[in-house]
Amino acid sequence: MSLLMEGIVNILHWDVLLFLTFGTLLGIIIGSLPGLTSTMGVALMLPLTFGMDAVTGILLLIGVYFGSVYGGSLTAILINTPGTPASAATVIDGYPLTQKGKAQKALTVSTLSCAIGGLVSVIVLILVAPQLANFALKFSAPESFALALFGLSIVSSIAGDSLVKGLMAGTLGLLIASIGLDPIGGFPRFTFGMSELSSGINFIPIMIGLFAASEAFKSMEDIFTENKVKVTIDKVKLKWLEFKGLIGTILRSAGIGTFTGMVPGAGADIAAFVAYNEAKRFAKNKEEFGKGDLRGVAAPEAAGNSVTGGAMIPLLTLGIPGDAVTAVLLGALMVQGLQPGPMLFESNGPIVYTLFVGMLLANVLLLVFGLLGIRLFTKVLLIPQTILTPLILMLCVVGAYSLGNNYFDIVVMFIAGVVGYFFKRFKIPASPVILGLILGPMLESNFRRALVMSQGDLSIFYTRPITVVLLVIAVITLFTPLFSKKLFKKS
Amino acid sequence: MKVPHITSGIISICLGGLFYYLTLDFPKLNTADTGAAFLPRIYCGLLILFGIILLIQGIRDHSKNEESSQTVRYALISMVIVLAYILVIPYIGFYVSTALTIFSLLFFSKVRKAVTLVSVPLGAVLFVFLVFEKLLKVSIPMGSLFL
Repeated sequence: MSLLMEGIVNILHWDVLLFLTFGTLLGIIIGSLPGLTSTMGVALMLPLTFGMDAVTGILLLIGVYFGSVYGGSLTAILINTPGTPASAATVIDGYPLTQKGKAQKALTVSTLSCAIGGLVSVIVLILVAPQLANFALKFSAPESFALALFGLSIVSSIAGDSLVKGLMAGTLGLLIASIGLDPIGGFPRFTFGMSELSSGINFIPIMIGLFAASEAFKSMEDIFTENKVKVTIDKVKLKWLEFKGLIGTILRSAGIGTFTGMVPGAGADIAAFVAYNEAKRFAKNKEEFGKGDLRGVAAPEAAGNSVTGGAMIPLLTLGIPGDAVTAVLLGALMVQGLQPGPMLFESNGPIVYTLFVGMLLANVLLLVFGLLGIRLFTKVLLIPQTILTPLILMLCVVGAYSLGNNYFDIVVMFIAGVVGYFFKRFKIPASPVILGLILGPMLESNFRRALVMSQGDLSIFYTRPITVVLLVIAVITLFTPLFSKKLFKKS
Repeated sequence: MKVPHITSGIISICLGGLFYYLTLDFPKLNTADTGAAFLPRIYCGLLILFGIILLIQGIRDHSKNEESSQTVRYALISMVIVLAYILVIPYIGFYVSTALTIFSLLFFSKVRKAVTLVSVPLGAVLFVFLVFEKLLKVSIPMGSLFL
């Protein structure tokens, strides 16, 4: 407790507060720009922190990290363009809410869910970090394979009207994910002799194309049709009763996100989809999901942001970065002379607790900026479609390019945009493609690694308790919508 | 007959078949590992299976096709404009090509106000310069003609 008090005192310096605020604001901007990821934002700001003291520098980066995870949802909700992979699941219900004129309400729910999710995860980090980290470390290749398969089973929930189309789209995502060097043997697959394909296709340009560019092409069509869809912004605020109804979803999703964040290799994108699926599974009335349900926004947002605290658990307690962004943070900590691991809490206790307090504050700042900015953010909807559409297409191009300063990514984004447009016409859902792309590499590498571990013996998948539990949940998740549809039809 | 089901079904079967054919050259390294082709072949098989189901659903479905194909050309024209934009970036650079593309798309969308036609492309280019190039240090392509 005394360490926590010391942390509070340490944070109350104008320079620390100023840089944390600047980082959070910058993170929100970076997150809302398609193609710019949290990792990129944190990596870009890293050199700035070299001359700062440890607490100020790390908190600047944490502000960027937390802010960017939140920022991704703004454009996802408002213009169907997920700023970061984590907000791809938010699009499913967020954008329909905007189309119904409920953008302000959707943004309020997203902001509250993000802040609560983030706060819960940091509190978990403070209270039970070492114990949870040890459990997450029990995840070996079979468990990670089962986790990826569980993630994929969500396809049946996000498939929309046609389960077959959803499964087809998910499989297409998996097939695209297998392009490039094979993860075990290094054999080039489906590369057609192109060097750009040997490292695989990055899913971010595909995500930008499938969601944003395709929507822009569709808007060009709408501009010329007689019955234009006019988006209105209702000034109806979120009611307390509505929020009360969301608390269960938010807390459950925060739990999912925190745990997912701890598992190496599973990031905010996976957590958001898993939480969305669970929200739908727990809901009594599932029909509104995909058409603009507030729970469909609350779940992925709370989970996506709670990954931030979860990912810090193995980083700080064991020195293991769970994903790319925490790997950059690990570098930042080491530059400052802090060696993450079990000894960090003993040797640098006051600094660690100052970071904890800073993380809590970063989430409060998200809440403040988010709620204050809602009116400003929704102004983007007042821009005429004729002006907004070319700007979105430009952002798609510059966003895809800036991911790795790679022209090939623009081409990939364009092809995905054209395909996404025809997906819309043929009513094929785009989200399962992204899910397949995200989880494909994790699924394959862990499946094959597990078999190498067991020397080809398949029993490795049904003799380990965590693996079995995850596989059973995966099967239940995959088939539940199918059975519930049949039961619904019968009744 | 439902055209979208049939079209997507056929495309899915063709894609699955083509990629399956490509996996025939993939090697298998050792007995413990399933090899580079194992999972892609499963994905191809699933694509073919879902394609066949969609095809059957499409043939059996006698409801009317809802989508009108009249408006597709507007989307197709915008795709051609964006494709041209992407193709010229390596030659005339990002800034010039962006300004020209935004101008073309605005003009195509029947925007005729001179202020809008000039200010939107310039504003967009300025935004990219300040945020992406200056703030985020992204190296925006200048184009081979200007180097």
